[in-house]
Amino acid sequence: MPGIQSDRDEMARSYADRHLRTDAGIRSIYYLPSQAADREIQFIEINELLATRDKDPLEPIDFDVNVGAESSYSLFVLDVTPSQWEKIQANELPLPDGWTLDGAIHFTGEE
Amino acid sequence: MNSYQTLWWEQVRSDHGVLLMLRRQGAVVCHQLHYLQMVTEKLGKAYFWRTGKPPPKSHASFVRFLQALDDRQEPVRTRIAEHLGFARAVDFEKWIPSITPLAYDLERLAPSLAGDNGPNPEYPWPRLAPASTPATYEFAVWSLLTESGRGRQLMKVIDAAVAAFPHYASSISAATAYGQIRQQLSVVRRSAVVFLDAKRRALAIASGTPHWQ
Repeated sequence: MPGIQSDRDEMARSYADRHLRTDAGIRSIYYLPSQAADREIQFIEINELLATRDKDPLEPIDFDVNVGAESSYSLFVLDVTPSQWEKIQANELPLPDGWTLDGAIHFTGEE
Repeated sequence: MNSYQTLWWEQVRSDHGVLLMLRRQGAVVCHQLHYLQMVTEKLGKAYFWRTGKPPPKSHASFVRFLQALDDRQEPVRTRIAEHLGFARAVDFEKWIPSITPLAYDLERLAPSLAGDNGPNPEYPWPRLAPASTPATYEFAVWSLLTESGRGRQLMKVIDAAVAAFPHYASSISAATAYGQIRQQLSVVRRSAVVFLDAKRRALAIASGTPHWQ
């Protein structure tokens, strides 16, 4: 559904802009649209201020931003440290089920 | 609020009550920091239970909690900002980055995040050969919280966030709540019409007048 897709991309851009603006620790955000459900936005946020917790599995937070509204999207954010991000890229740390880097869109707040 | 949130909020309120007591009595800093860290951590967790599913186990949820509030749609966002003491949603959004580093410092006080060698408000450190203890340690984060305007404001916002929690924690949007109330009113209205019609018919029968008149 192209209409939903472009609307979702727009919402994703808007959430990413806000997160990059409000959290000094976030270095960049990857938006993963390819495997996400139509009304789901998946972000990986690379955060330099997070404490390292290597023993914990990667778990996204459901922001539950707009439940009940007709135009609602679920926003899931996976917080990772820069070193965890390096491991993800090297396939040493698995992403949660249903998450893939294929087709990921990179937001840095610099564009 | 769902039942999970209610339970978490009860715990947050209790922890916050102890924090206020410690603050009033001028308790040793480590104890105030310990409770402050627990309040912020549990407040975030209480909020993220709004989906009905358990939030991640990590401690790093207070900054996420503030961002999740900021990500809510209007007019809810403005109402939340007002509950937290801001005149406008934009003021709340501008405030978040100013306290983010401080909020992360606060989160890192949790012993599981502070690591074996870091200052934390509960146990002497380093773990294998303790050289410092929380009761006598001068926490830099405490100076930032109490001696800077943004630190004191963060404390006030935390107090307000605990007190106002039921007003913004619910998962139902304002539009949905409005829709549900309208639906219920419509049912009540229909019931009233049926009742009045039945009453009119009963009176008509009692007076001998045909009820269709």
